[in-house]
Amino acid sequence: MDGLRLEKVKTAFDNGDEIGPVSFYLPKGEMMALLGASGSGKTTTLRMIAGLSPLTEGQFFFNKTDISSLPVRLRKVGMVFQNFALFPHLNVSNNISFGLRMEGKSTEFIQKKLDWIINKTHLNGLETRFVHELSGGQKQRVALARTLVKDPDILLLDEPLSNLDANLREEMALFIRELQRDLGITTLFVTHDQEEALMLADQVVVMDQGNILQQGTPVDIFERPTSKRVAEFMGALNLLPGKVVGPKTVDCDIGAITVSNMLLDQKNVGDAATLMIRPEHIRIDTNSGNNDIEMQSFPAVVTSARYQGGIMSYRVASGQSELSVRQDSRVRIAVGHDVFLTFSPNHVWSLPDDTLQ
Amino acid sequence: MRSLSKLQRVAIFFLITGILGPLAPLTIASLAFRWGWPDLLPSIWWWEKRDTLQVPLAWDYIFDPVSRVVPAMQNTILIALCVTLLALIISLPAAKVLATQNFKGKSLFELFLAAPLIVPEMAVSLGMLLVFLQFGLQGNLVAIIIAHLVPVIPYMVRVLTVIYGELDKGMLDQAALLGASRYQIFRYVEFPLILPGILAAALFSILISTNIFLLTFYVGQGQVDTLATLLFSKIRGGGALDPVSAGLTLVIILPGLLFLAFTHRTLKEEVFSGGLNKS
Repeated sequence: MDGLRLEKVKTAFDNGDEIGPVSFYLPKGEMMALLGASGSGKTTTLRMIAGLSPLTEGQFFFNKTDISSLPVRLRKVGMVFQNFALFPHLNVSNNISFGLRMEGKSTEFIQKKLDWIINKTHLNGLETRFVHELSGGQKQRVALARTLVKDPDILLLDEPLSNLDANLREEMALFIRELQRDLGITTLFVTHDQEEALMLADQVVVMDQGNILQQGTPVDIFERPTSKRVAEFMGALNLLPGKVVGPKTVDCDIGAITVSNMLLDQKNVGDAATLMIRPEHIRIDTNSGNNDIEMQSFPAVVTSARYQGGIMSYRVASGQSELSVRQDSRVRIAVGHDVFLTFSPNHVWSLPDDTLQ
Repeated sequence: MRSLSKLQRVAIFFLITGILGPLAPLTIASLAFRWGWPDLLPSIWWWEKRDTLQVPLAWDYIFDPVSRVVPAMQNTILIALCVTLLALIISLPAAKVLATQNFKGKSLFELFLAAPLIVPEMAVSLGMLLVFLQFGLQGNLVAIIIAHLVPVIPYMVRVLTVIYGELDKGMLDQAALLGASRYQIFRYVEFPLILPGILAAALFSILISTNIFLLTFYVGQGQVDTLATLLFSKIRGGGALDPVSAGLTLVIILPGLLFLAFTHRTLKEEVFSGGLNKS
């Protein structure tokens, strides 16, 4: 079980608020996203691992060694802050070599490492610049280089893309992903943006109000949320309450829906259930020309249609419910049209019971 | 470079006149032998009478041992430097705590800290002299230095609290994460970042210390000359601005000016390298 393992760690703020207990396991060399709204305790979790927020309970390990009681500077944990916290009185190369100089490494060693990381982070030619002469993306790369040059065991990134222009984000996301794979460094990053989490992470942990709601792969979190909160956080707009009427069948407002997921098997006829269907998994069509026996169709009316480049975003009314649908914009259906909603039983997810309140 | 608008020019003219204006008549007076109303310039200059009179005049008098100006200057600078150093040692940790931490009675403490600025200097001076007399601590430099700390520390703590308030604590955390020890964090991150603030506070302290008359006079019991006590004894006779008083007034500006010239480069470089906390 090489990697980072948190065991019921807790911390408290001055005002008495608590974060935790937080437990998760991040395998060595993988990248994990801590996803949550602001105030969910995700940055505090990073600070606990870095040693900047003292633990009140629990401990954590890296490769079976307890590092939770080590002083900050001996943990081999690198962290890039949201505002980068670059030293304004030092130039780029002195910022990057800061950690090595503090350790008293030899000049040749420092120069060798400096050349290596400057190449890796594409900072050539910027060595003598000062922080205020750098763009947002360059600052990000200097902050990464400054941390990575020390070969930390664990890399922590606090909202790594939030300080960048929209057009830079994807580029930087790919850059960070490649660098992380290349160096094989165990990485944990914090984000409030679900797309960012899905794009970058091997593992996603969803946090809310100081607790972990769900941990899993991006596909798990996106398609098989274990609670309504997670489903909502991942942008699942279609949540349909209903009643179980038979094996794998739930009677909802729009009609009887067949569900093929296992969780429903544990329920009895007459139990309440909440179904989730992602907007991308519903197809709408003006005729019911649907020969696929696996699919199910329900009549509906288009109440709004928005063009979003390659995608059309619709709202459709069926019964008392309104659903969101996203599909290819090559066929555009106008508001007011009668349509049929079509989706596969495989794409209907029944949320577990405990989340119905 | 963009040329200045008319309004800007007028503003700058008044600014310069306001600062340099009072210095011009002082400079002229310090060089005059006779400068009576309504003459725009002295009717007789000092150097015209320099060879004919036996006693030293104007600037000659100021630099003559009889006037005690040179030792007073030395005392003034020595006191100002000691006061500044001690005040920094006391104020830095205090300001850091005030800026970064909350504790019970903080606002009361801040009010208490401002007390020396609210209570009249006369009361402070007399009270302090009474206490100092008990310990036989009067009429020497040490007594004056301690006395000067009283009005200097409140100013200094205030300036430094603002500086510490603006310091991004993330910088210090980051330095620790990069493996710096507590000493290294202070030496290589915290100190360089607050240096401009320290210099500004030191400038304040030097200006205040060189200008304090009452405290110096009471606690020093007239035994220790500083530029301020010399100047006051010089002008107590009447309102007339004789060349020596005028010259002394110019000399008293010197310590602050010297310090400013000395630190100017550091302050300027700080601005060029991005100033305090621009990241």
